Amino acid sequence: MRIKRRELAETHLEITPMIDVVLLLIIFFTLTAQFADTLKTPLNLPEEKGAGATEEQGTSAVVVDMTSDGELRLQAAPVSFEEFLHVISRDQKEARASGQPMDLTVRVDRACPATHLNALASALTQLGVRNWKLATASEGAGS
Amino acid sequence: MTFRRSKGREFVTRRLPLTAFIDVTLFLLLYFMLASDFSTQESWLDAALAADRTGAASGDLQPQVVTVGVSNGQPTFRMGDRLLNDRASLEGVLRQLPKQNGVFIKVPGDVPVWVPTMAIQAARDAGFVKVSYVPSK
Repeated sequence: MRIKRRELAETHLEITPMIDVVLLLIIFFTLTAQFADTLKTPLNLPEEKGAGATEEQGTSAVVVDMTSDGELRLQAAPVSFEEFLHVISRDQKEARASGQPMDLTVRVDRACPATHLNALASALTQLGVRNWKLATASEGAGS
Repeated sequence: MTFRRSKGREFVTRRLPLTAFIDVTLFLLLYFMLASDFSTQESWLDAALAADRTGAASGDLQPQVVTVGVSNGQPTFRMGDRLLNDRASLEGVLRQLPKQNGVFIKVPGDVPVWVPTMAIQAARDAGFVKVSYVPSK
């Protein structure tokens, strides 16, 4: 008995390579996001919308964190006031040499007494820093 | 015995392998759920740094100074004789001021940082481009 069947070519999409790539991308972004987070001290930033242009926020040259008790941290590592001023002084010189203004962002805990921030501001003014950015958390988002 | 197959049209089931898609989608969902927990939408407020030189104003115009404070846990903003108790009032007053000279936010040491930040934000929202942070003793 001979049954004649029309052979139909099975069409299917090759999904396996796509899954491989997507998984690799997910792993990559997960790892890089973790590394980026570790450089930031978890702080309760003041809840303000900020400059209103978060998409314009570029990578700042210097980002310093100030905890609620006024401790300074650079890339999550505690630094003394003098050490930080030394870093700023060096960066300020480099910025002047390159003709670019120094980009300084201060991430300060919202509960921190302003006396610590004022001391920093006064010291920075004496070093010739004329501008800074105060980091904020968009309203409704905890940090 | 002869088998007769119906002469009707043969339906071939073509199935898309959905399992892999679901796997990837769940991974992505998991990733974004975790990422949204850890990441915060951060922004920044630009402020000039100025030294406190009370009474050393040069020029004909009086500097526009907002002195921030805290009373019973609530922010206060003093502008000359006026004492404002909330951000909306401050922003309303600042909107009426000339913008070309900027505004100085004078910050005593005993206030928490969120208060001057609120004042800077109010000044920005009121249309000031030049906002200066002035540490006050």
